[in-house]
Amino acid sequence: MKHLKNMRYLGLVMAILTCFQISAMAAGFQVYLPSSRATAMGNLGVGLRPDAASIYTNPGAMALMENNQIMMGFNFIEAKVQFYNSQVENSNYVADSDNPTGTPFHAYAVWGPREAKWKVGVGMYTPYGSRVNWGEEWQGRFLLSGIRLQAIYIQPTFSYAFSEKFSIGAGLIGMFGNVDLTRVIDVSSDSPPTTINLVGDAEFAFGFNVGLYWAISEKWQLGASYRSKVDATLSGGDVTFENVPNSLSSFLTDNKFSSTIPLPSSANLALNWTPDQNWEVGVEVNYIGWGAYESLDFDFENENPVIQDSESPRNYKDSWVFHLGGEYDFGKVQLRAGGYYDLTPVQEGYMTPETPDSNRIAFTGGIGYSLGDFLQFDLAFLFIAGQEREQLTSVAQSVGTYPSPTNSTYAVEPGTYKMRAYIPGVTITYKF
Amino acid sequence: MKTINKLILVLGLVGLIISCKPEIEVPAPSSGGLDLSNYLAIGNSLTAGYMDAGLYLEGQDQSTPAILAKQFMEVNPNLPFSQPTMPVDGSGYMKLKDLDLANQIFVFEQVPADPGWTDKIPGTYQNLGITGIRVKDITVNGYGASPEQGNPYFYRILAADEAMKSYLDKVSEAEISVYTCWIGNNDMLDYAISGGAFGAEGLPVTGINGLTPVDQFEASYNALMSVLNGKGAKGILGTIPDIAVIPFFNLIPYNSIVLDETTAAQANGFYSAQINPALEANVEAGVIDLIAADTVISVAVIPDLADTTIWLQTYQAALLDGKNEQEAADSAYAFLNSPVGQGASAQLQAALNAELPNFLLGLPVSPELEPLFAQIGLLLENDPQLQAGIAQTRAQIQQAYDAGLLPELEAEIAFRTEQTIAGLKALGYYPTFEVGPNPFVIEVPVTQTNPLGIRQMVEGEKVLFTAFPVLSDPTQALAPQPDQFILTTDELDSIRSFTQEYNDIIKGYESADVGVIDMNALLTALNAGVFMDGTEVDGTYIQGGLFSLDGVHLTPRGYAIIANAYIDAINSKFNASIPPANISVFRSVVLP
Repeated sequence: MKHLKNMRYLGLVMAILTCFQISAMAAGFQVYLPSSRATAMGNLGVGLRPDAASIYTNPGAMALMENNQIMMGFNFIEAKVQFYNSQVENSNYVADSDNPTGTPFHAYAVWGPREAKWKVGVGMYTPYGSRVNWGEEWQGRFLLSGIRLQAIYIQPTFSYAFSEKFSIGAGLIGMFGNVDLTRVIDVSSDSPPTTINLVGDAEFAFGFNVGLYWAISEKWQLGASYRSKVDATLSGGDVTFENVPNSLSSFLTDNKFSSTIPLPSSANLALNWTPDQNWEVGVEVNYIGWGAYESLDFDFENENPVIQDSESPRNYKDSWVFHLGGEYDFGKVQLRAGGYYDLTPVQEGYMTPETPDSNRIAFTGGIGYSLGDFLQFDLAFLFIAGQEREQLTSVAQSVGTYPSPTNSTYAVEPGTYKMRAYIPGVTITYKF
Repeated sequence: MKTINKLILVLGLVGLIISCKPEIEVPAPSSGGLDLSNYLAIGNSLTAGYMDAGLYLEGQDQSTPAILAKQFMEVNPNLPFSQPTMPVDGSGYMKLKDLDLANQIFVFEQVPADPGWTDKIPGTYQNLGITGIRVKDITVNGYGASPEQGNPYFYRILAADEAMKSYLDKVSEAEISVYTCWIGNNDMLDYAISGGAFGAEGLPVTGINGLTPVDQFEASYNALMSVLNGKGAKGILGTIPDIAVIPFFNLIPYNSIVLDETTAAQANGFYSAQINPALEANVEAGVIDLIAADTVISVAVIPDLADTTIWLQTYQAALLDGKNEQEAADSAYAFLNSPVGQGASAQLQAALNAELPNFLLGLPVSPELEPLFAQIGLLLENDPQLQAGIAQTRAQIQQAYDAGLLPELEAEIAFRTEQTIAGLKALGYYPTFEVGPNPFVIEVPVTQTNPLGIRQMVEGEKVLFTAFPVLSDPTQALAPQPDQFILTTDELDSIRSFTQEYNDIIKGYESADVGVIDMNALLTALNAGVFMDGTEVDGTYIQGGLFSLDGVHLTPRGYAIIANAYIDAINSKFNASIPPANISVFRSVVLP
């Protein structure tokens, strides 16, 4: 009965955490922050010694956990992007995005009878999201002033160990999410900027997460997992306008929109090395199916000369992430460090203000503290440096994302972008 | 506790790091070799910041020189810059009161002028943009002597004891290391905006509403350039854009009377009711005149004339044969009375009769008959008996015609009326309207070929924006429009040739110290549409965002683009790297 009670508390905490917002921290709008332990070790997870976060990173590892766990935590994402109008000769115009602090969370519960070969669990995590606020004054405001996008996965999971060395697992992903996007409309009037705001909830959608874990030897472990793509379909979202001049009020009227944003698949492979009781070192590679994100289209229920269905090309390509990380366990205290290199899925000419993405290098570190056998505290710190990336007007025009005499699509703001993110995190684990 | 202290330390460190934001390296602004210590803006309303048909504070704050000075200050923060600021509402301006974009209906309201806007505020100003000034005014002493007779915009910046100073005097007094100069537009625009209604010379003495003579333009601009060059200043001149790029002249297409079947029929009916009766009366009078003269002359003049001619020919031939006068006269009578002689006379009569109508209509006749028709002409002018005969016959025909006794003549007159109408229509003098867009009708001088004194506009001709209120009324739009609303092909040709010559003069000043911007090329490109700094401008009225409500002057966004054109020109001419302004922060047309 004790277990059930804990589960109930977990549900309550999850409900509260849902109110928090999240933000984009891996390439594209992926937010890969499985747990503070994983994050501190360069966001490893798939091949690590199993813990409750395996629900997210590798459901296949779950059955090999030594105990039952309830784990929950969250991160603060402090990300800033600077834009420099480098495509205009001699310009010294810069704009800084003032992104609200994101707080993605993770919560997992895993349970199985001792000595049983299986475990069940449920996880709730936020693999995708984005929070960018450029404000209503920067030069790209007619493209985007602010966006908030979040997807929350709830994943009941089952894992079975064929032996002490080999286990598999699978989880059913239930996704819910929402989008909130604001842009300024390029009209002048005596009132504050005229804006259009699109807010919508994604239809509940399903996906899956499968994995396997193989302890090859005392010292070597192998993990592999695959999370499927989930389409976040927004339909009947609300379109509202603010500060509309009277002369435009017949065009800019409340409306409904629909759109679909793919949350891409991720195929993951990891190798873990545990030379002794104290050391754990791993490498991991992820292959993210970003190619599914071809365009961001908005269909409006009522079209008029001003409000028309829009198609904005994204043409992302599949991308790779390479992780390296390790931990040294002093007994009560664990020290962790790592890093990863995250290749951008955004091709030349497709760098939009909502994801001004570039290759990213990340450094991580953290400490763990064990309070007896029951409680574990983990702190993580993640620093991400996005490579400074210049998007040329000529390139954007040639791929058709920036207006030219032959094309009127305006999807990107050419210029130079640079991103920095600082992400502290904390996780508490209760073992039983 | 130790652990917690460490924790606090770590968290503090984290907080410190988090406050750092990404910094992209941005090139430092530099003046290169250019001395940016003193700037002067020379020009007219386009430099003053005039917009929406007025000079008021908001426009001044976002004038091209104000934007430029702000960008120059990125290099020289101590740059002196001040403008002769207006009260908030300044000289008054137009504002959109209502706008129906779908139906292109604009309703304007006028913000009244501040009563004190012409009050003197003498001082040292770096924006010497004077609304209304022409190149020919630069050297005029007393140009700002009084707000009524002189230029009130110049008057207000002059001290009381400077009444007789010229604009050039003020330029000479200024400290200038770098300048921008865009002047000369009004030397052409005054004429263009008045529809050329006062002729190329314009009004007497002042030449207002005329085109500045090219030599006067050159002499005056020369005086300005010698002052600037004498100071060792460097700068950029702007050429004068063609009116093809100014919405004021292009807003109303020459053929914007759009009609459907019913309204087209009404319009045609309106003009035929106006024109046809007079035209028919004219034809009728002409035809009856012709018939009367033709009838009387062919009966009373031509037989005698033919006989006399034949007799004279035979008589002269006989004299040449050596006969004496009596013998020659006798043989001539004999011949005339012979069947051959009678035949010759009849033949000549027939020839004369055949060509008589042509002669009466003033058309050419066969050369060999010219002397005979000359005699007929003399008779017509001088023979009271003949004149009376024709008048009497004319009266008889008219009487019979009016009584409806001459159906053939009626048909003839109707036919000729139709022919005349068709001829006038073919020349575009007789307005015709079709379903769809139709050209406006305009007033023109009455000439022999265009007796109606009106014609329909042809492609390429311009209707001025001042005609907008009149043309918004469908009935008034159909009526013939006066000259002041229209630029005809001839007027446009003179505007273009003068503008061309002005620009050749301006381009001639280009040197190591003086750059020239082709404003026509710039505005042509902007009109077509340019996307920059996240926003698009084009020449479309209101929505385009480039031109202010008056259709001649620019919006702040437009003025910022001009400022950037100067910056680009300065940077490339003088190896500077002055940052351009960001266009998107400036407003376009304020929508109601």
